[in-house]
Amino acid sequence: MIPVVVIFIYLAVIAVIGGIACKRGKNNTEDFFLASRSIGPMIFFLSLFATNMTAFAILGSSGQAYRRGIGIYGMMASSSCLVIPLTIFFIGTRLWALGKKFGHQTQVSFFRDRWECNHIGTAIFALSAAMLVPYMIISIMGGGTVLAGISVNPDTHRPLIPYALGCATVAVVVTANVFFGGMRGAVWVNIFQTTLFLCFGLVAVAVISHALPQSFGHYISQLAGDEKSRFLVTREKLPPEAFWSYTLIPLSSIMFPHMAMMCFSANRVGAFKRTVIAYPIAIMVIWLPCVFLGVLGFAALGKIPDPDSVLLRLLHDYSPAWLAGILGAGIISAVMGSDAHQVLAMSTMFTKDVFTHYGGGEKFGERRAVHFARGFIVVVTVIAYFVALQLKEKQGIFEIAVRYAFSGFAAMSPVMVAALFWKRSTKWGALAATLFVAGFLVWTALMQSTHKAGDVLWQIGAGQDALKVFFLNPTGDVAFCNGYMTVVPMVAGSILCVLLFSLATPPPSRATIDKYFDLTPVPRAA
Amino acid sequence: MKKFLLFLLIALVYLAHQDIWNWKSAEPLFLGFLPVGLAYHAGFSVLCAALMAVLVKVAWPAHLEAQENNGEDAGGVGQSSSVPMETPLPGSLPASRVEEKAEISGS
Repeated sequence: MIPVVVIFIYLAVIAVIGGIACKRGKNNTEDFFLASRSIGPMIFFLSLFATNMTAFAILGSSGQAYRRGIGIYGMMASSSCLVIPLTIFFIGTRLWALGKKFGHQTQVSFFRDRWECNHIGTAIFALSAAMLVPYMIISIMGGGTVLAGISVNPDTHRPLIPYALGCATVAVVVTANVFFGGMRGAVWVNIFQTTLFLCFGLVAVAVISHALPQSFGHYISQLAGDEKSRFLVTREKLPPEAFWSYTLIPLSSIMFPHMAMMCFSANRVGAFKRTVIAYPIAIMVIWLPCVFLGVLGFAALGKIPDPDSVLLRLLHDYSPAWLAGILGAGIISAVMGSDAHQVLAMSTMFTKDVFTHYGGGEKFGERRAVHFARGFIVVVTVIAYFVALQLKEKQGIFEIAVRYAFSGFAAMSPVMVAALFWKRSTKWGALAATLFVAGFLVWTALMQSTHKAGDVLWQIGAGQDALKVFFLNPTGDVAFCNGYMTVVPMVAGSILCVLLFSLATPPPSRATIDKYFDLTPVPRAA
Repeated sequence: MKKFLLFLLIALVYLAHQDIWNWKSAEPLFLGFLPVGLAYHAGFSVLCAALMAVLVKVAWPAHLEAQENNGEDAGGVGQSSSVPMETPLPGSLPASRVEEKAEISGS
C-alpha cells in the first residue's frame, strides 16, 4: 500500500506542476507547442533526455537482460551513447537553426517547404503518426505494468491497481498535463522526472546490494560458473549480426516527431553543447544499473513468469516499502516523461500539419482547431489504451518497440539527412523512401502474423550454403541475410530510394536551395 | 584535413563498439562483479562523451550561432523568443498572419 501512496503523491506533484505551467502560458500556439522556443540549456538537456527515455529503457532493458544477458547494454545502450548524440550534433542543431529562421514547428512543415510539396508532408505525417502510436502504447503498457507490479497485496498476491486501471491512470494524467500545460507543462514536469529516474538506478543498486544475502560478485560468479546461465554474463548466445544491426536503431531518435520538436524549442544553439556531452553519461547512469539488475535478478530470483517485471520484483523483495514506492515513481517518470511529449507531438502535428495547413484554421476558426486537436489526441490515446490492454499477454515491451517504431523511424533518417545536407534531393526521393518504409513495415507485420519461427521467406541457393535473404528467426521476427535485423535493409532501401528517385527527377528551385543552404542570418519579416 | 580526421575518429569509435574479442568472456570481473563485456561498454559510454566533447570543441557549427546574435532573445523557460507570434488560442487578440504559411509554396 505504501508504494501506491508514494506514487499517487508523485502523480499529484505532476498535476500541480502542470497546473502552474498552464497559468504561465501565453495564448498562442507557438507558446503551447514549443514554449515560445525559450528552453534554456539545462532544462533542454533534462527534457530532451526525458523525451527519449521510456518504459523500454528501464523495464524493457532489465527484462531483456534477464532473458538475454549483459549484451543488451552493448547492443542498445552504448550504441545509443554514440549515435544519438551524433544525430543531435549534426542534425538537431541544423534543424534548430532552420526552425528559428523560418518558423517551422514540426518536421513536416520543414519537409514541405524544403521540397516545395504539400503532399510529401502529408505522407510523412501519416507514417509518423502510425509509428508513434506503438511508441505511445509502450508508455501506457509500462505504466500499467509498474502500477500493477508495485501494488501487489502480499496477502492475496493480487495487484491493488489492476493493469487496466494502471494504464488508464498514466494515460489520463499525461494527457491532462499536456492539454492544459502544453510544451511548458511537459518540460517543467520533465525536470522533476529526469532528476528522479537519473537517481533511480544508482539508488536501486545500492539498496538491493545491501539487502541481498550474498554479494554481487557471488551471484555473477555463480552465473559465470554454470554452463546453462553463463550466456547471461557473456554474449555467446547473442548473434554478432544482430549486435551490429542494432547500431542503426538509434538513428530513429532524431526522427521521432517529439525529439525534433524538442530541437525546435531550444532558445539557443548553445543548449545543444551540454546536451550532446552529457547524453552518453545519462544513458549509462540509467541503463547500466537496469541491465545489471536484470541479470542479477536471474541469479537472485530464479525463474519468474514475467521477465519485464524483474526490477519490480527485486524492489519488492529487497527494498523497504517507501523506497520501493519512490523507485517505482522513478520508473513511472521515465514512462510518463516520454509519453507526454509523444502526446504533444501528435497534437502539434495534427494541428499544424493537417488541420491548419489544409485550411481548417481559416474555415472553422482557432477555437475549433484547438478542439479538433484535443479530440484527436483523446481518440488516439483511447485507441492506444485498448491496444495496450489487448497486447499485454502477447508481446514484451521490447519486441513491440523494435518491431515497428524504432526500425521505421530509423529508416526515415536518410530522408532527413538528404533534406539538410544534399541539395540535389527532391520530393520524389523523399516520397519514394517514405512509401518504401511504410510498405516494408506492413510487409513485415504481415509475414510475422502469417508465418512461424524458422520459416524461410526468400532464399538464394539450396542446402547448407543457401543464403536466407528473409526468414523468421527463433523469436518470430523477420531477419535478413542469415541474421541481420530488418532495420538494415530498411535503411539501405531508404537511402537507395532517396538517391535514385532524386537523381531521376528535377531538382528543387534555385530559390529554395539558396534559402535552405545559406544559413547566414536573415531578419524575419514583421 | 580536419574534417577527414574527425570523421575518422568517429569511425574508429564506432568500430570499437564491435568488441568481438570480449564475446565469450565473462572474466575478469571489474570491481569484483562487473563482467568484462559490461565494463567495456560502460567505458565505451564514457568514451562517447569524450568524443562529443572533442566535436563540440573543434567542430562546433559556429555559423548557426550567428543567428542568435542577430537580435534574438536568449531567455530561459517562460520568456518569449523574438519569433513572431503564431495564431493565438481562443480568447486572445487576433494574431498577425503566420509567417510560415507565406514561405510554404503551394503545389
